[in-house]
Amino acid sequence: MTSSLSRALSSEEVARLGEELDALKQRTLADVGEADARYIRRVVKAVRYTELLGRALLFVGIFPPAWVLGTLLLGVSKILENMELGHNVMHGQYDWMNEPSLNGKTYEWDIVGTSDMWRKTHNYEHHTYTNIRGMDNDIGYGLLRLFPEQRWRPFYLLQPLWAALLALLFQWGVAIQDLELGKVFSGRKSKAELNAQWQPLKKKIRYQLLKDYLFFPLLAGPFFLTVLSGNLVANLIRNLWTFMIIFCGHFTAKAEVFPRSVLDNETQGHWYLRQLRGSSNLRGSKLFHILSGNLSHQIEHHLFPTVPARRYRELSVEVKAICEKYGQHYNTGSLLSQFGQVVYRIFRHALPSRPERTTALLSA
Amino acid sequence: MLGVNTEKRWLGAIVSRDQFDFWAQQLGSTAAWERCFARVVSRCEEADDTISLTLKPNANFAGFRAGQHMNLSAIIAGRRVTRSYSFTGLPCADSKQESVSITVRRDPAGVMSDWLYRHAQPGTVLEIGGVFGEMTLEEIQPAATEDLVFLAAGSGITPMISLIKARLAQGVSSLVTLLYWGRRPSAFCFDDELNALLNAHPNFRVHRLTTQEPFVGQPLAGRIHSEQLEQVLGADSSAPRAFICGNAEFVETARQLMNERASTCHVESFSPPARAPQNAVVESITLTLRKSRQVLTVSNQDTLLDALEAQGIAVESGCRMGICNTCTCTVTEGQTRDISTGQLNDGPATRLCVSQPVSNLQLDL
Repeated sequence: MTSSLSRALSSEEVARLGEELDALKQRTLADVGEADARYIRRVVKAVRYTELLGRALLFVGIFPPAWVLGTLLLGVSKILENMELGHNVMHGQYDWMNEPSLNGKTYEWDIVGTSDMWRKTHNYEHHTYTNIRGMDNDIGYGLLRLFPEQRWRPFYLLQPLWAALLALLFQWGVAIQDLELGKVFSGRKSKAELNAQWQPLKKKIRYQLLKDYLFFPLLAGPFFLTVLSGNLVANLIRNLWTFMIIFCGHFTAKAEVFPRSVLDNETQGHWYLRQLRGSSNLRGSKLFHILSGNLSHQIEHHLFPTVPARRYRELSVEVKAICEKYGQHYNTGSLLSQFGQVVYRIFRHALPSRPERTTALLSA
Repeated sequence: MLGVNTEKRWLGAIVSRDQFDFWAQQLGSTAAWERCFARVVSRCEEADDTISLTLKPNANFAGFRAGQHMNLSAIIAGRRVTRSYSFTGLPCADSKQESVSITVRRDPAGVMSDWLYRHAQPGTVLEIGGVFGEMTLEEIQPAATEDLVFLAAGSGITPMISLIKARLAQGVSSLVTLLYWGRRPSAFCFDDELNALLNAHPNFRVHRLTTQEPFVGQPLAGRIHSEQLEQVLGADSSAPRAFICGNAEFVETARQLMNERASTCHVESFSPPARAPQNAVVESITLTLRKSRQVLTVSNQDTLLDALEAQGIAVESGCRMGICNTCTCTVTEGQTRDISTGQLNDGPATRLCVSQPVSNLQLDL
């Protein structure tokens, strides 16, 4: 798996690439306005109405078709809320609206993890140090070996099983990511530090669990169990979907990882290039893009995380042209093909593997 | 109150603040978890290009005092825009029954006033933010025997009218005088209310002064000058306490003229401060945003708010003239200058809209 599809760029080329992408970003931001505001308010509306309808149907979920439809609607509502609304709002994509309920710094999403932790692990760490080994914990979430560059340990032999568990419990993976339990067990992080992080998380977890597994079921009276099971499955659907979309974003066959040394004197252009080489897109319908929170345009999202995600589709045309101009591979494919590559990685690198030579970002 | 809080606690177990606000809005209510939405209940033409609106706030409204102003927000072209407006009525004893009035003069270049003038109708929902202002009788506590004189130019009348009503409602017999400058006869607001006050209170005097077109059969009074003040106030026996409100230029002139006549002057300016006291030498400043971990280069000639927005960083802001406190942010390192006063800011809390950097800065953003 070499990355021979992209060529190494000279420093001047990287600088020009950076300027072109910067200009594209400024042009897009200058055009952001009323239409984007209308769109995100429509998304809020869709989230709220699908949730209401889903929960209402689950209250009569003793009738099987109502249970199935209610569960699906609630699952879709949670997917939309987590991805197209929560994730994008927390990036500050709609801060310019000055709307308190869509403020990136205060938004709280419908998932057991706290938004504050997410803003640190995702917005800052993952987006700044994307695909740098030892700095971007999203590479396998400390649980999986997805790249031959990661050191092999016998633990990884069972990683297809770990991956399946992570997919089913994905919201919990996101919730505890920043606790860095591995560090705590090995004594590199104090109990006091852990406790300080645990308190707000505990509160959020309690709120989420009580809401979906006690209060809403109780409201249904005799149908306690149908509501509880519907909520459980809806959360499960959301977990599986988000796992799949997110893993397709950085772990496809042609996605690259980088050593810490790429950060030495890294310029803006160089950062763009790393985002480009480390991310991969998914092709699909408009509805598919919306349900993926437009993370199907992972490349554009990583280049422009603060630009409203509904713009990524139009941006992708120009980004692709820029990639062609600079001889860079634009990594995209269908969900089936890209996720197939992710699954292959999970199985292949469970066993020892050696990195093949990749194209450097910069030419010597 | 206990009932409301208990209900909120139970409801809060299944509904978030934003969900509650969303469904209330879908059902056509202004109710909200914490935010204070207000519905326009009436609109009337007050004067040239000027309307008065009466708003009915939801139960979260915490009340106000005569002379104060509030942050009022409307969603204009997708953005929530906030500006300050004075309360023109008197507070109601029962804050749950309260309705509030504002008067808006349309400035075609002003985003908010133009929008309100063209679009605010009974039914329109706006949002009330903080309530501010120290120019209140409660704060100033004038003695019952003290004469008060109010000098207002243009929309500077808006905080004055509520102060006048509040003072007259105290039932004092000392003099209350309003000198009110406007461009032409049709530019004066609150005719009916002022006439009613004149009839009810013999200690109240009003002088309307025109600066561009006179009242029929009268000479043009002209902009504020000392003879006008002498004519109105010359015969009074004691030095009054003065309240001055209008654009920056009017306020400055009125303050100078009243300094020798009045015991004290209370001043509120309505136009943005002149951008005169800029940093003399143009310099680039390194601006570090602590929370978002960004480093920017900005000019020391721009306000911090303008500089941040120019770099695509959205900062919550309101009046953009140092009044509403919305953009206030903590400076964790470095020095800034308040361009409305020309002075260096001494505390860490800094209003970004009227502050320019003097040294390299770190902001808690």
